[in-house]
Parts: sequence; C-alpha cells; structure tokens
Amino acid sequence: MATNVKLSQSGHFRLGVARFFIYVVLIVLAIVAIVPVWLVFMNATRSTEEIYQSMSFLPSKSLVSNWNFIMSRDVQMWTGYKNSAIVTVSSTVLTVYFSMLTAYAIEVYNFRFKEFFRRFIYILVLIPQSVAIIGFVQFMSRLHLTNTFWPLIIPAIAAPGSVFFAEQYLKTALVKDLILSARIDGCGEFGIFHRIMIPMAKPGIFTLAIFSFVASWNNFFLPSMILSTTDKYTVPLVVKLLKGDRFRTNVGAVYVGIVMSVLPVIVVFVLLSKQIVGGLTLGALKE
Amino acid sequence: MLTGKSTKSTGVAVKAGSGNRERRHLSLEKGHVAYIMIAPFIIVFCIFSLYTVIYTLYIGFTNLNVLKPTQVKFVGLDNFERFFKNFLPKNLSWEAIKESFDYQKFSVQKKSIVNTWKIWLVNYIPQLGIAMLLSVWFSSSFLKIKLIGFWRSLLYMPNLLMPATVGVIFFKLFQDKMAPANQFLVGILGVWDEGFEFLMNETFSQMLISFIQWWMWYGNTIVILVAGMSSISVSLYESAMIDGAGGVKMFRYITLPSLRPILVYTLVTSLVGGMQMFDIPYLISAEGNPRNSITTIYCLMQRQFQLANAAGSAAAIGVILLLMTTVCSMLIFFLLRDKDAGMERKASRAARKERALRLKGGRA
Repeated sequence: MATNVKLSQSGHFRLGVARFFIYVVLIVLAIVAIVPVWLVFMNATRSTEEIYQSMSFLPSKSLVSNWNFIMSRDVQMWTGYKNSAIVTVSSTVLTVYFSMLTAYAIEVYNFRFKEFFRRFIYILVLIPQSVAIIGFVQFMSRLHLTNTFWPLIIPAIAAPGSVFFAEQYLKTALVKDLILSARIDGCGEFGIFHRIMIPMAKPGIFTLAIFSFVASWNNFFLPSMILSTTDKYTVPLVVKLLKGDRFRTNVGAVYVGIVMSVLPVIVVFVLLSKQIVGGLTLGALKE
Repeated sequence: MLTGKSTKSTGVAVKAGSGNRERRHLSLEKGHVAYIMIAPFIIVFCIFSLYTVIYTLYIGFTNLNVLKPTQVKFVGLDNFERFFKNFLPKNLSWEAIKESFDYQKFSVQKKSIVNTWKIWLVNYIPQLGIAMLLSVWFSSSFLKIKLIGFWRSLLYMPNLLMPATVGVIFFKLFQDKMAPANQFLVGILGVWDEGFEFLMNETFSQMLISFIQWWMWYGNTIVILVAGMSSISVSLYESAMIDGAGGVKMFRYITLPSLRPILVYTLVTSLVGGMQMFDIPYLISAEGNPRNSITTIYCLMQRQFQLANAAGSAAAIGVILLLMTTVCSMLIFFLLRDKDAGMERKASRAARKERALRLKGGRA
C-alpha cells in the first residue's frame, strides 16, 4: 500500500528504466552463459574446413560424417560411458545410502560422542581431504588397486559434505512421532530407517543423489591419478584424449566428442532444473 | 519434610518431564544402534581419509620415488625447504627485496601459490559482486522481474558442466589464430588485422581461467544468496521503509547483516574449491604455459608426481596446501561468523540450564 502511494509518475518512469536496464543485463549474461556451449554444439555439425574458415551460430550438414569419424577411431566414447556409469552409479548409491544412515544416527539417537561427531563432520567439510591424494594413490598401489574402479567407489561411503547436507535436511524433514510409533509397533531400528525414514526423506535423497551423481560424473583429478589404461578411462579422461593432436585433421569430430560428454548432464538439467536449483538450498542453508 | 507418597509422584513427574525434553530435542534412546549406523562412515573415513592424510604426511618427509620404492629414505624437512626456497629475499638490501617481488623471477613453486590466489581472487570478487546485485534484483518485491526461475536456472547451468569439457571448450575457442574467438574479433568485428595468440599471453591466460571459474560459479552463488535473502523477514524492510530508508541503506543495514552466515559459507567453500583448482588450467595447458603462468598448486603437485615420479615432494606440496587452506578457512570462519548470535546462544543455553536446575530444586 505504502509503496503504491509513494510512486508518483516520475517514480513509475524511473522504475521502468531500471527494469529495462536489468533485462538488458540479464540478456547479456544469458548470452554469455549459452554462447560457448552453443558454438560447440554448432561446430559438431560442421566440417573441418567450415570450422577453420569462420564461426557460425547456425548448424551445417556434417554431423553424420563427424560422428562416423569419431566412432571409427579408438576414442572409446562408449567404453568411457560404460566406465563412468559403473563408477558414478555405484558411488552415488553408496554416498546417498551411507550419508543418510550416518545423518539419521546423529539426528535420532542419543549416544556418547553425538555432539563431538556432529562437530567433527562440520570441520571435515572445511578441510580439503583430497590433497592427501599422493598417500591415497600410493596406498592403492600397495593394495594393487590402481587401474581398477574400487578406489573411486569405496571412499564414497564416507562423504562428509553429503552427511552435512543430509543432517541439515533431516533436522527439518524428520517426524519423530512416526519413528516412536513404529517402534511401539515392533519395527526394528534398521527397519524404521528403511521403511519410514527413506520414503519420508525422498526430496532430500533425490537432491543428494543428483549432486553426488554430477560430482562423480564430472570428476577428473582422482580418475586421472588412478586409471592408467584407456580401456578403463571414464568420460572426462576420454575428453582429455580429444584434445590431442591426432584430431587436428578432423576438428568437427572433436566437437562431437565434447557434445557427447556434456549432453547427458544438459538433458538431465533441462528436465529437472527446477528440482536441481531448488535442491541446492534444501539443506545447506537451513541454519 | 516430604512424605513417601509425594516423593514417588515427583519422581514420575521428573521422568515424564525429561521424556518430553528428549522428544523436543529430537533424540531417542537405544543409542547403541547409532554406533552400528555410523560405523561404515567411521571405518571408511579412517582407512581412506585419515590414514591417507597421515601417510601423505609421512611421504612428505621422505624422498620416495615411485619408480624406486625400495630406496626410500627419511629426509626430514628437505621437501618443504626446497618448496619454500627463494620465497624470501636473500638479504635485506633494496635490490634483493625488489627481486623477490618480480613475478618473472619467481620459482615455479612461488608462482604456483601466487597464481592460485590471483586466479581465485580475480574470479571470486566479481562473482560475489555480480551475484549479490542479481540476487537483490531477483528478490526485490519492488522491481518484480519476470521469469526469475528461468534466469536463475540458465545462469546456473554452466556449474553442472564437466570442468574437463569446459576446459577443452574454452581451449578450442581461443586455441590459435583460426579459433572462433579470433574469427569473431578479426572476421566479424575487425578489431585486428590478424588473429591474436591468446594462449601465448600470460595475463590473458590467467584472466581466461578466472573468467571460466566465474562463468561456472556465479550462478551457483546467486541461487544460494537468493535463498538467503528470501528468508529475511519482509516486515524488517517494511518498517525500514516507513522510517524512510532508501534501497542502499536497507541493503547495508538489513540485507548484509542478515546474509552474514551465508556469505561466510560461500566464501569458505569457494576458497577451499579455488585452492584445489586443477581441471581447467590443466586442460588449457598441462605444462602451465605460457611460462607457468597458469600452473596452480594442484597442477604442480600432479606434475611432480606423474611426470617426475617424485612422490615425496608432491606429498609435501599436498601437506602445504592442506595447511594453507585449513588455516585460511578456519580463520575466515572464526573471524566472520556472527559473534552476537554465538553469545546469544551461549546466554540462552546458560539460562535454560539455570531454569532447569531451579525447577528441579523447587520441586524436590
């Protein structure tokens, strides 16, 4: 009410100018966000000569030949997909399940080191443990686990960031009385977790799953230290191969490979952008 | 003078009271199950994180070479000394001090630290500024921007792309004289007659990486800030408006203080991530070209390990990075966290304890 009264005619004009300016800025930023990706998609459909001649925001006709070229080489895009799928799916399942379990234990039960453990997790989030990579790789090679997927999967069980998120989420999402009544009905403690908590926390689980999936799918550093033969390469490592000089003669094919590496994430994002962007703040900022 | 009957009834009352309190604090008994539930986390954490950190620390004090694992020797602080060699001026003469600030004469190690901080800062400051501005626009009840969800998603999208791919994309865009960036500047805009070798220029390469980091992360910061702003009570703004406060004043005295915990959160997470920057500089130039201008601390560590096989000095770099990041993030966390809120919490906890004691005492 007060604002409506205050706005005189010049006020309306000023607001209009401000809005116009804001939309211009937003459109410029949107173009900046899209153009690099758009150019890559377009170049995937163009021949090497076209790409070297000029840039274009419109598609051309060479997609099929570029596709055939990259599939005929030993880039192993499909092997990369398969390897990435194995690593990503298993580590996501482990992260989600065990983070939820750990957070549930902290949230629901009373035990001696409860507060200590909770603080400990908070501190772990602030410490980049991946700098211990040298010790990790040496340890794995002593166990003869380098060039296998195990070192990329098993550590997913202990993900402090995910536990932190899950804990923040469960703080608000958990209905205590349901747990109590389930216990009175004779349900075991793990039964309560599986049959009551998991269905109840579905939105949080979905968010956690999406973000662990993307993090694992995009992970480059750890796989590059662990995996040494191309038949074990995950997608990001295959992308690195694309940068190599042997594709200088067919640049369009390189762009096809780049598109293939980002396409799954873009498709998922277009389908689920609302949940993803909403989920980003689901647990992290409740405090 | 209490009778037996009344003691019994107080006993029940106390029990019921404590049960209620338990429920309010969302805790249930049967604590032993909790140990089983957190056991997998603890076990895996101890083996794969705690042990590897200690093992890395140990390797950092040895001369371990991956190719000659049997000839490992304890060398004390050698790796750390080598890393910090030539960091400080040799003596206190003016010349030596001036030389120690000359970027071109830095050792790779010194360059890597300077590069990492520079690239992170150049990306983080505009990232926060722009994200703050856009968040204010998005959450303003005054401007009523349309399609906020759409803009937010679009600006957030680059954050989900594979960093390795983003590195290759920008490498391709700026690769050489015939790259799209040059085609645009020379062919369409006609800024130059001939293409510019972007990736041969030190400053440009650093700025490009800062730009990519900014491009990938400011959307994320917007989403977080908007969520933070939407949780600020509208009545605060309304009463400020009645008191005649303008937009800038409201931002300074309402928005900023309320956002403090969230700003600390974005600052710390961005710092921790920025210090570990690797994928993008590595995929633009694995050698850190031109002249190590985009060699980050992580890139240096990876190079020592995979190219030189010098696990000892690579581990030392890891330890240095761990200490640097931890100290900085803890400092930020403790310096900038809301001291008033902490005091309040402490005071209310003390008050609650006192009340509980008084209640107990009164009843007994």
